[in-house]
Amino acid sequence: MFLFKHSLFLYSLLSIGILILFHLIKRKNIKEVEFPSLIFILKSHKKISKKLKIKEFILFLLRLLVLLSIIFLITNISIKKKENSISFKSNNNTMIVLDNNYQMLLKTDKSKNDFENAKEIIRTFFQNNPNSNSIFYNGKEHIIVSVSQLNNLLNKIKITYNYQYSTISEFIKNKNKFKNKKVIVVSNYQDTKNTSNIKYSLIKHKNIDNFFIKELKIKRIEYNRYQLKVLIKSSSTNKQTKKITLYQNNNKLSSSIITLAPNSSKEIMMNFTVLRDKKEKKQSNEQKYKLQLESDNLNYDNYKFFIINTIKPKEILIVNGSTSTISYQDESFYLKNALNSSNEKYKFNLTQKSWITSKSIKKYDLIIFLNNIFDDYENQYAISEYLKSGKSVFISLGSNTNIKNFNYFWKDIISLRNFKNMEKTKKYKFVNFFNYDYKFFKNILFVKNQLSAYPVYKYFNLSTKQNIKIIASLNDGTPFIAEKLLKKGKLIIYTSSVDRDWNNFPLSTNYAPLIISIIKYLLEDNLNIYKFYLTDLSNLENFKYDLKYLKTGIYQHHNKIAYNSQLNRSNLLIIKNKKALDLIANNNLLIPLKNWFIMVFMFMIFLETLFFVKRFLWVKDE
Amino acid sequence: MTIYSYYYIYSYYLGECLEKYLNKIYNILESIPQEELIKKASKKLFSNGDLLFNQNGQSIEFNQYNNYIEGDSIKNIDWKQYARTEKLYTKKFHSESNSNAIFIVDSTNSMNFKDTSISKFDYSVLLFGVLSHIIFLSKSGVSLVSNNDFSGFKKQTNDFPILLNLIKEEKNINIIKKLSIIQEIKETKNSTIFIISDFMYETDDLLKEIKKMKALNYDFYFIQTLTRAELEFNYKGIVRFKDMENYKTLVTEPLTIKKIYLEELKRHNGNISKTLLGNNMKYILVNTDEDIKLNILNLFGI
Repeated sequence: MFLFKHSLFLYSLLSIGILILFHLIKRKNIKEVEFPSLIFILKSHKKISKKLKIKEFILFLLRLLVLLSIIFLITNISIKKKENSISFKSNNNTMIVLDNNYQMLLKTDKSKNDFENAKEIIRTFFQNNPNSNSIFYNGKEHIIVSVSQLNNLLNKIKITYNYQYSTISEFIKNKNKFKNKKVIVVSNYQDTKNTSNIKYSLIKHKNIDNFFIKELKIKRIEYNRYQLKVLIKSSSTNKQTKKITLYQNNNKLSSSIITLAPNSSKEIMMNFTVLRDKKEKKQSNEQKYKLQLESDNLNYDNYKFFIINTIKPKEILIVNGSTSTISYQDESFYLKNALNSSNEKYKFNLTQKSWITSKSIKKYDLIIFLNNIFDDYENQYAISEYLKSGKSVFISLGSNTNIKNFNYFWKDIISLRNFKNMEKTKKYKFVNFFNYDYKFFKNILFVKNQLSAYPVYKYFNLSTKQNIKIIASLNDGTPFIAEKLLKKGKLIIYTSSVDRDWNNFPLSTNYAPLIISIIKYLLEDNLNIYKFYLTDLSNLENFKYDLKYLKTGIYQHHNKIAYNSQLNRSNLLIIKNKKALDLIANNNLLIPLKNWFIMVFMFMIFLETLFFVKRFLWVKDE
Repeated sequence: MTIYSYYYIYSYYLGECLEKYLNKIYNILESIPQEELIKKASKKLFSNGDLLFNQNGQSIEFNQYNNYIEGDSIKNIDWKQYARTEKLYTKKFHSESNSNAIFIVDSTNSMNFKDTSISKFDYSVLLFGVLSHIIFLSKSGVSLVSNNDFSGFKKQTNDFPILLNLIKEEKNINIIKKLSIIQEIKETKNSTIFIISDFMYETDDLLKEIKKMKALNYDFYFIQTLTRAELEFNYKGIVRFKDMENYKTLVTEPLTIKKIYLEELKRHNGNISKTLLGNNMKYILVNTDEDIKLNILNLFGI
């Protein structure tokens, strides 16, 4: 019954023996006095000796209790309370609140669920205590006079799937009316903390014969494509086959059939694409999903809800240095082709440098400068602000680039003044080093044996003295692609052209993965990571309403209980206390007795002090 | 002859241990107004006022001459003496009544208790000494019952050492037994019996006996000698009390029982005084911590 966290300290109970010995054979400082006659002393002593003995015994008890409470404090004692331990004895004027939340549908044995069991408990209670007890229903107290009335009333109370309208939430709304009443809440699931006059009857879960979704994991595989991993568990005694279905906004998306052996679990995978509902013209990109497992027992345990935000394609602004129109010879041709081959979706916008203002570039996730002159210093401020806002810039050089202008242009933004003049290599160089420190390279296998087949014959020589990190370099070690390390935002410099103007690298099989990795890396921080919610919500119709509730509620019932601590006060008591939930989840209720022992300890100390003070004052008076 | 001059005569007869008593007694007698006490003695000590010198003129037997003091009856002036000496003397006569004092000084072990320099017994002896001298001076007889013996009435101050000697050899003897000795002797009738004791025992039997003797024309004067320790019971801590009479012991917490002890003592003393005063006898409680002179003056109502 009692549990000790640090049971080793129980050995200190032996010290009680010392206390008893001390009590029995204590030697006090006894003075010996001759007195003419003991006649009156004896009379007085006889009158008071009983009191003295009692006083001694009380003192002994006090000390014993002090010692015990210290020991129990150290051992951190707690008491295991039996569920169903509610005592219905002579509780006159008791009001019963029957929890009708849907979790009461949980089956505790094969035939009956908790709700039916609770009703039976209540019937027994009224049989034993027929006088002036009542039932809380519909916001009011109904005094029970007859058995038929009780049965009628119990039949009226039905399971609700909305917490807001449950008897418990009604009771909490009206609880001030019943301040002075003894209240028993019959539930399988509650918090006992807030109200002093409320007693709880717990319904014990023995064997939950159920088929339920134990765990749900959602992973994004590619743009708007998700993988669902569902762990289904069966606590049933028979082999069962169930159907699991996924709905998007109430439309059936996919379904599969699962067969589970008794007491086993299985993980199934479902892939699906998040598409915008064309019917909904709203700007909201939230898509509501429901996963349903057909189960004979507790339906509402077998729903899982989640929301996924559809992701908009990333918008990239390409500032083209050449005046030529978009054609296959466009400088961004190879770049765009490479990016389009990825599993993400990008939206490209081409523009001229004159168009750049801080306002116009704000909406873009990335700016790519291709073969620019960098002579228009009006753009400086806009780009500087853009980088400071945490966004990224990709610069590729080319024949239009004047190195003096370039250095001057970037000087004020990032103090980049380390480019030497363009070098025309006599002996063609090639890209042969990739910096694997960058995590985005980890899934790429660069083809090494053909590197020399794609020569680089023109490039700008970037000094490595500056604060840069090389991503890829040429075979002589000069930087080919490098990142300028900034406090905010990312800046990557491609020292040659991204098209075939100065090199043949775009023809290499390494080109596309390199570009995709770099662009993904640049866009990473700005990427809107999908959001989804898991819920126990009763149905999809109430989804919107309960969404507010969801943010601060309970997310999953069975073995795992998710919990949000920022629960509103308006929310239900029953899901408020994490501790209580954990306790119920562990199928027992541990009541820490620490506070009780602290109280006992303090009280005993107080009494001892009182004894002492009383004695002291008496001596002083006389 | 001054009273103090007796000391030198008596000390000749007495041993050392008695000397200390005598010395103290005479010191006390020196410092108290004897004349006044002797005058008051009849009223205060003898409840029937039956004291010899107060009965002057009632007897034929000539006693002595006194100098005439203003206010004395002219009837008593001895004119013959006046003719002879030209001085006025008044004649004084002995009364025929035999109002004498019998002293019983409790000599039980409990009387040896002392919480200051002087024990209850010593204090009682001093009281006895001073009172008997005053009674001697007022021409009454004083006797003492000690060791199952009645000393016989002594009428002269010279006899005091004999009484003192008897006290010296006093043994632990019950007061009731001493009273029975008194009753056996005829000449003790009509005397006033002074009992000096702490009365720290059940006094029911004693009081019964006294009531009986009162009916036989005995008169009683109770002097209860108690120490401050007994009266206030100011002990602290845990104490093992040892009974001086029967050597039994008791361990108790005096502070806890103090209240009840004092109530019991008060009830006991109240019972004694009520019985005595109700039967026209005299009772006084003497605290041995107080100056003996003050107690004696108190005894005489001064």
